[in-house]
Amino acid sequence: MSRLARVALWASSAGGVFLAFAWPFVVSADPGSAAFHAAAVATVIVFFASLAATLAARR
Amino acid sequence: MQGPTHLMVSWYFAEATRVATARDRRIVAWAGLMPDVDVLAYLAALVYYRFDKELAFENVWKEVHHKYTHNLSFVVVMGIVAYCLASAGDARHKARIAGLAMLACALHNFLDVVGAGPTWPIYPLWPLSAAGWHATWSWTIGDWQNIVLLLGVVAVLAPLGFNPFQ
Repeated sequence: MSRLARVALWASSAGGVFLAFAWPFVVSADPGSAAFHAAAVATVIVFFASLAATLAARR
Repeated sequence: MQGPTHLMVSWYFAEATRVATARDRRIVAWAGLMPDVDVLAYLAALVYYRFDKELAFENVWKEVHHKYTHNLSFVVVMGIVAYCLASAGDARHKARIAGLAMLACALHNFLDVVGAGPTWPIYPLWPLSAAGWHATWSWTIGDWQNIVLLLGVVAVLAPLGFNPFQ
């Protein structure tokens, strides 16, 4: 469980960096893109959930 | 997102990635907040315009906010600063702290694309390109999503003894 949370934390962190800095240049520069909306919200949710789960698993 | 949220999330991120010393956790946490250091320009503008908020906003904050500190160049600068400030250790340890500081700083940019409102783009490639990046659906600072995320994480982690005010 804690390993899964850590993997999710690193994956969502990398995903966030990609969405902020690479997406508009390599995928789409459309600020209203439904695909970006879905990917970004999913990444935020996974990031916060895995952050909490990673720390909770250490207690 | 709001400054305190960035600071707290970055500190939790440092904890989650097992940064051992409080000094290094603080470095990562502050690196996650530092893109908002441009608020100092707004404060200076307030003084310059004799506390006329409208003038300070129109002439300085609207022009400055995000432009010079929400980009990859600033992320790299934060990495260099973190490397220099990291607690004593070998080069590998310092490089790890620098990498985590850069990641926290980059995540600040991502969280602002999602949760700082559609009127505040980031500028990924500045100064090479002035192209901004934002989402039309981005929720604003006071929206419930930001509050739920912050309170949710604190509600889960505070009872477990994780204290970002160390």
